[in-house]
Amino acid sequence: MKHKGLTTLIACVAVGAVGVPTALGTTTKKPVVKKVQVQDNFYSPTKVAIKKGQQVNWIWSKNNFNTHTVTLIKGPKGVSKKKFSSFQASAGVHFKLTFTKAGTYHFECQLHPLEMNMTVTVK
Amino acid sequence: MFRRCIRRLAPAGAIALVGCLMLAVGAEAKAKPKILTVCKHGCRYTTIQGAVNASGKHATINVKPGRYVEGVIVQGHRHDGLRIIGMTRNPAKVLIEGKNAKGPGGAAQNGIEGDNVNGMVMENMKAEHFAANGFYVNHCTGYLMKNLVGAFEHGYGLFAFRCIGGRMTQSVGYGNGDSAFYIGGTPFQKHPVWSTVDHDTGYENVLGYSGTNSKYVTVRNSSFYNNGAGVVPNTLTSEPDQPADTGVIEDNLIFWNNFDYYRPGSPVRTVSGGVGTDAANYPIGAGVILFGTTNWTVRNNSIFGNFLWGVASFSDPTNTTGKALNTGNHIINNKMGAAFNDTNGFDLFNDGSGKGTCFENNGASVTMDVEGSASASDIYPTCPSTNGTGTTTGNTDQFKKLAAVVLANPPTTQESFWHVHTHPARPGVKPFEG
Repeated sequence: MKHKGLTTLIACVAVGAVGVPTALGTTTKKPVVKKVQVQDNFYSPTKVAIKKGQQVNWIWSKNNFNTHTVTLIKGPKGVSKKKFSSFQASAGVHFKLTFTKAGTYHFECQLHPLEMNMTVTVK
Repeated sequence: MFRRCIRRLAPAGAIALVGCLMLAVGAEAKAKPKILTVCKHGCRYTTIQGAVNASGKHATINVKPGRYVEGVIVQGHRHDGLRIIGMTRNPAKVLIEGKNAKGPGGAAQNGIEGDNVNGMVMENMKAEHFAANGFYVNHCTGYLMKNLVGAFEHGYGLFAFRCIGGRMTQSVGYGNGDSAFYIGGTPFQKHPVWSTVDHDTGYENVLGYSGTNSKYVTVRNSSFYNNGAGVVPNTLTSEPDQPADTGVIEDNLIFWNNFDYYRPGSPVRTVSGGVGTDAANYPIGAGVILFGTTNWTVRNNSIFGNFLWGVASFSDPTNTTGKALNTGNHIINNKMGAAFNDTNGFDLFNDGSGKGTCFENNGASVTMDVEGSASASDIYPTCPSTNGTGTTTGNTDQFKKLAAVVLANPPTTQESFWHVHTHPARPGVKPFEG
């Protein structure tokens, strides 16, 4: 138990040591986040272009009445559709993804597939 | 079973014994789905979600009275046949509260949500104040929602989407931002399995029943009153499998649907963006609206005291697919306003679009909304009929009236089309207009 505590302490100090300079000004770059509104019944914008490592945050409008999803229909090889698909929601939530693989990602709302579809292009 | 197995296979030795044991264990596992109990204090599970996570196929979760601040999510066929049952006949005693409830990504969305779960049963509970719906199932074959209350949800009280068959019964919805009951996005089926909405009550909602691209649905023996509009199957491009096709609305009480939620300060917020395009808004003051439906029958209902229309049937010319066509609907054998000394603005409205929509035996004193040069016998033919323009635009003068109603700006001025009067009293119910 003691050993575990010691290990944890060392780990904390190490993390702290890395973190200190950050606090003193050599800031770690925050990832770029592009926002997409999820509304009744559309995404806005419907085309997003980002670079590898950047993020997209889908934000459900508080004024929605209908339930929507952000569901990956087609993406680059090896990208998990499950991991790149949101829960179902109507209002007051967000869903953020980090894109590490280049390619084109097609998303649609499972409930409103004809009206709600969009692409994220990652370079 | 185990003993019988041993007697038969004993000479085969140890392998047989192991086999028998496995068989016995397997049979035991199959025979006994889990029964879990949830309560606020003293139970193994204090949240419904906790019990769901521990459950399996055909499990029963008994929920004792209490206030559960959570949004429950049930996902996948490993929960097929799950039953979540409130241990009370009074659904309000098992309250699933949406205010301050958290879910993935922020606010909890639904009281109970079943995704890809067949045959799920929910009984004896109330859900309120959720960001989306009270009770929600999607992509399923069969469900039962019984003795539930969905109140003041942002969207819908009881909601089923892309399900094949199911039943909403003995339930109540009020104060919902869209409808109390909804069955929509129904897949086309070669051998249709019908869904039923029966012995339900919807009041003070934007709509009592709504179903976008709703199919094989019977809405019967229910009451819809004090909503913006009572029963509204509809066709929209927004959801899969247009149109709303093949349904029956029968033996219902549909009255006083004059809730003007467009009025400032309304306790229920209106649906954002209206329907269709050109800022069209849902009509208020209507009992039944068949909006771009095909082969829906409205029969044997009592429809009265709706200030705009008793039953209206029209296409959606803004739907560019042409599928929201007023086609083959039958409005027959209904008792309309005069029979109750509580008239509708007009008992019937038809835009004359599509083909084959017909009207018969709705009382001797039935009133028909006929505008300008339109002819009543053309617009309201008896059944069967081949009348109609065949297109989504219908008769010009009828269409003008419809457009004037749905494009009224601000929408609360729709009331200028109402025929307002005092209703004869009904026990236990008061008129509510917003």
